[in-house]
Amino acid sequence: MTETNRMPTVGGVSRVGDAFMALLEGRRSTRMFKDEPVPRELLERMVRAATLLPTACNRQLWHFVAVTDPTLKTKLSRLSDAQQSYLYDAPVLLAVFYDTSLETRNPCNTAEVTVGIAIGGLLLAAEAHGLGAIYLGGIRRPTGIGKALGAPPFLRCFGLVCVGWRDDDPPAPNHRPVPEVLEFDGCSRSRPRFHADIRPHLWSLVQTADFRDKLLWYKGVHIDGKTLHVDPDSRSSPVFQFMTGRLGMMLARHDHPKILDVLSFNGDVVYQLLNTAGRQAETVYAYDLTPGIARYIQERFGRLSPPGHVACIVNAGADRVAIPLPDGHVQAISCYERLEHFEDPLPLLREMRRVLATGGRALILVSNRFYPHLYRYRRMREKNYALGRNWNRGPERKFEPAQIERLLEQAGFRVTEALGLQPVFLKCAALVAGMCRKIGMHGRADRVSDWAGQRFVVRGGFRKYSSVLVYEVE
Amino acid sequence: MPEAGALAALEGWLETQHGAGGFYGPSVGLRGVSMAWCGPSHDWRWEGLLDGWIALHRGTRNPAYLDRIERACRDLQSAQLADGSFRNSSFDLNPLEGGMPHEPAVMAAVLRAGRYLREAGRAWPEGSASMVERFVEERLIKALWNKTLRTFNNWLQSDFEVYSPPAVAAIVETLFEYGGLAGTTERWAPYIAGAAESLLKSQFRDGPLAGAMPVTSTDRGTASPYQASRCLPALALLHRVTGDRRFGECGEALAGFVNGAFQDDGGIACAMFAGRPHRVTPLFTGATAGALLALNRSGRRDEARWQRQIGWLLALQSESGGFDTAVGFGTGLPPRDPPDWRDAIPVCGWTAHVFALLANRTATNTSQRREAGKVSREVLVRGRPAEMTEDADSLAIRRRGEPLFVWRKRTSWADVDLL
Repeated sequence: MTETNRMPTVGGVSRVGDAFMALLEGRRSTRMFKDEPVPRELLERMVRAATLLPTACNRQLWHFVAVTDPTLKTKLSRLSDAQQSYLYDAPVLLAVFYDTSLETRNPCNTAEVTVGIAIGGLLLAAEAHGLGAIYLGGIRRPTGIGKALGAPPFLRCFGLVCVGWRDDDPPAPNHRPVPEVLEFDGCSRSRPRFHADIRPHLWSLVQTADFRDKLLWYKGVHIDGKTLHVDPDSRSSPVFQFMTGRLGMMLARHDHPKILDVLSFNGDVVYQLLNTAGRQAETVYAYDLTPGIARYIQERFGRLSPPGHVACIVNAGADRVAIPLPDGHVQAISCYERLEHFEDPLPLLREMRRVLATGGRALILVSNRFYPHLYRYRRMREKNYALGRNWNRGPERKFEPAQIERLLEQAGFRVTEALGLQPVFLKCAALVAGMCRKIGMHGRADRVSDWAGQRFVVRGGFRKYSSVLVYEVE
Repeated sequence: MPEAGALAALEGWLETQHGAGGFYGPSVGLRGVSMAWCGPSHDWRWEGLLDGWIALHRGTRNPAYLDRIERACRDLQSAQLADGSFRNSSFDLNPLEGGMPHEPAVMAAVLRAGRYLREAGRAWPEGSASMVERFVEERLIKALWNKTLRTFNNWLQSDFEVYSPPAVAAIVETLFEYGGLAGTTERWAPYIAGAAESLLKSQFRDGPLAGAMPVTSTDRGTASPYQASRCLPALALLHRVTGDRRFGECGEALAGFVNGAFQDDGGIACAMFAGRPHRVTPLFTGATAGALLALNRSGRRDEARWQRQIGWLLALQSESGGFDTAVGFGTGLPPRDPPDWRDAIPVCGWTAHVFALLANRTATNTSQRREAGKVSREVLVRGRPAEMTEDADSLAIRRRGEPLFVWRKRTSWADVDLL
């Protein structure tokens, strides 16, 4: 028995156990690093910790390369294709390899499991020594990284661990509670937590809420300007700009309106509303399904301090959509591509109708089923559709114009204006412009692009062949 | 002098754009149009306005211009967000904060204005220093400084190997001015040195674009002469302060490129390419004025060119006092008559540069502001005729009486936007 295991216990839990749990509770992935070197001794202790962890049949097939040379780090960053600032900023990149010659071809993938365990050890050892670290597993070109580091062909790069002195204070992410993931003497779980396909009808409201919550904390837009940022800011996209503009024009019709943003997620729409009309609005309500999302928005806005008054509200029902606002409470509602998350969005639409005041308007944007999204075909060909765009957005269902219009009617809305954004002929125009450029007809290509650029918004029948359907309803 | 009359009319027009919190109006640019949002924006319009007011006060000693500078500083303070950026600073992508090179360009202008106020015996409005400090510390140093590239990124998102030379140049000016005003030049020296080197590194050395600066550092085949010209003052400043002749040579080559982009009939080419014919149109009035101002600020004023270009600009002033945004949108040259609506619509963000240019020309004359006139003219909207009307209170485009765009001036949103 080791010394630590003989430590005095309180209620069956040793002090070492408490300390270990505290270490785990406090661990965060670090994405901002100080510009200070990491002592070699600490790196060696981290790797020592990793090598003490179990390996299948004690094969110890891992291999570590610590990279501190800035030129080499830049090269690795490019090869990983991660496009994240922390890869450049971290003083040390630990490339973790495994020896493929020792890998047995069994269905358990023991080699990869072994390296995964070692990486877990690296991360915990870094935390225990006051260092910050983050693991990057999505390596696009592991062979390229091996070559760049002069590794022999039998060593395969499994991932990169960025190590350095922490210069950020990331918020605590949400973790699934133990009773949800632990069962005794049998497994009662009958449904997949997340289905591998994008079929919202397989998802309960609870699943959707859970997915959105966890996803947000993993891929959330920046909270303090840099820490969590992973994806580009979509607020400069033409669709978002259009929505903001329409919403602003709607709000201008009311004195000090109350505004509701449906399923606010990362709070982009609310943030935009506050920055443009925050002082004119009485309250902007950010409504979403879980307290975790509300906490995220509060934390984000607490640091950005947009003007105006925002109130985060959480769905009132455990397994049904219920906006916690009285009837006829708000003058304007925004719903930016959110109905897609529901197999049956009617309950949500009914709730929106209920809280909308007489004379108020709602702006609803929804993806059109008929639009030929090229990514869809590409993902389908790669059999990886489920982790495509939806990795960032959750499950999606596309609607046909007739379907959505029927739903709006059933919810009690009257459509005052129906538009389409990004009609399909823009795609054709882009193809024509590209072809013109290829054969040197640049002037014509410019004119075609300009022609298409002025036709981003369409009305009438053309809207049925648009990427996004827009409904202004009352 | 015709410039004095044009300036008086322009001042009158600018006053129709001013409301609570700043200068209002829609924006038309190359990246897009921002027609629904017409609220107070904090893009490079402030650069033109502040420089114009400084020039006018220098020429006229009219204290009203100093009052306007102070008012501008207060408007900008109220538009600053906690992370140091400014609301609605992205010009044609408005409403969106974090606009580049708008924000550092405006801050550099604010610092120049602060220096001028001090020279004129006035104090900088309270809070201005902390506004600039927050922008420099929170936005530039904490968020945009790239330790690996040793220069400033343009945005917080991915593509960390990319920077934008015009934005970097504006940041260099800001840091120089801020260091001078706050007495902290030494602290910013490493940042300025890194940014300066990145400017040198990004210049096209040979080929059809020799001397030019790209809009983004990775773009090896395209240059915008106007955006490139924005690097000239920073290069001149670096040359003067460091004495390093590389900056002088870089500026000289860049000035040669910019001068070559001016059209004989007036205007500056929109985009130039290494591997295809240049794209001359749309010829933006504000870009032309801005490029002339940049040449002037870097000590390369060519009087003959100024005369020719200002003559072209003055011909594009409408009776309202505002200036057309561009010539040749959508159609190229020769321009179509009636013009495209994007050519004809006056945009505060562009017109402010024309204002600064004219203020520089007529600074020795006392101009009298003239009331904005009423204008009605035919324009094309997606190739079909429509009527654009403007007076002191509204700007509208209608087709057979049906409104396509209606904006009541000094309100944040258009009433109708079907453009």
